[in-house]
Amino acid sequence: MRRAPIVITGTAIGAAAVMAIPSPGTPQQVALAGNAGATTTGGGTAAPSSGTSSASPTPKTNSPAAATAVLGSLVTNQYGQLRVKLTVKAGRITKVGFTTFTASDGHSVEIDQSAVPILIQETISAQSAQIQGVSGATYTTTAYEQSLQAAIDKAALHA
Amino acid sequence: MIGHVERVMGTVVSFAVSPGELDDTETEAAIGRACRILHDADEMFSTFKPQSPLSRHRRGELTAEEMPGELFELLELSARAVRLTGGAFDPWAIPGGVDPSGIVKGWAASRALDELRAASASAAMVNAGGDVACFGEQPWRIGVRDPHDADRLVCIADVRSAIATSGGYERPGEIIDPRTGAPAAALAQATVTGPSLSLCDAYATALIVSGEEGLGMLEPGYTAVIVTGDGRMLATPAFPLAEEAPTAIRA
Repeated sequence: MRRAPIVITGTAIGAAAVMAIPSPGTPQQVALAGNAGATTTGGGTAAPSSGTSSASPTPKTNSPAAATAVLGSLVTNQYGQLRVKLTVKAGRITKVGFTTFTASDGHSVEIDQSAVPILIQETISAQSAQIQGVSGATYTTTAYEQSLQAAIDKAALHA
Repeated sequence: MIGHVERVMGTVVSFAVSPGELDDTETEAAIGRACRILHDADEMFSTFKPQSPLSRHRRGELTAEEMPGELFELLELSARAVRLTGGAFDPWAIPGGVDPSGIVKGWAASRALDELRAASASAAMVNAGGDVACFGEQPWRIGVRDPHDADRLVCIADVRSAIATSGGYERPGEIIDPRTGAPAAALAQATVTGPSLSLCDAYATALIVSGEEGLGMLEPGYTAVIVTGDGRMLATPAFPLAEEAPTAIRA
């Protein structure tokens, strides 16, 4: 597997870390902000740290020593798809890695075997989600009638 | 895709079956046999029915010879779950005798799914009140409910075998810490994926008892996403998070 070289500038979560993934064809730049996961700004050249990121809440942790991982959005370059993961400890980025890398041929590689849990930052609206089932405590038949699973079942029956 | 909804075990079980080579009659017959398995499990493991084999076992009325193989299997599985969770899941710790109800639903759903697999359906999903068992060439996209808002999802998981969720929000105080006897609420919700739905169920319940630190007890092959009491959502690194915009990626 070919692994793109990585340049990291800026290490504090307060000033966004800019991670450049140089690539011969279409250079791609990934800005990692603390509040909304990674955002992709394709087409630019690898830039030095700008440190101009907006709000940057430090992920809450139980103790100052606890490490937290922040998961970025999916990035596609010509090598394939990858997801960026930052490990944050005491408000500082201690590690930058990829959780998964799916190469263009569909071959998927687990790159970062870190045991640090990934912080999910936003929930998803059930209305817009394309799902086939729901996992969640629906114990009673009454609760089922009001559940998202019931709506999915009805939609499937009338499909 | 053929759907079916069955009311059993005090909950609602949803089926989705991709018939493959099966015709409609064969598919419906297979779903019928799968439902029979769920009703049989309900008869055998109900703690509300005084004459169920489980109720009789709890009263010490069953000899080893009289014990049905399924009950033996479930108790064995429960014992394994106690070991794997370090006692955070323990159906023997509850006053009134062993109560493996926590994993019965998952166990029954797995067996119902096995029936559909044996019938040669090309893919199928059985959702027993939020405990999901499935198979197929493609993973199933299963939403994990937001414990605080039924209209939102914590995440979407690409599930290949099983996913189970425990939470204290529908029946507060139901999950008891076996080690103290007090209601457990270390987490608002715990969801576990892995090969065995019964063990996913046991792990999810155990995580409510043990909290974030309990993530370390998961065997290889099992992953979790948890919601803490203060609202943080954490996933283990290998949790099969699905893309949120499947049309853009899988078009």
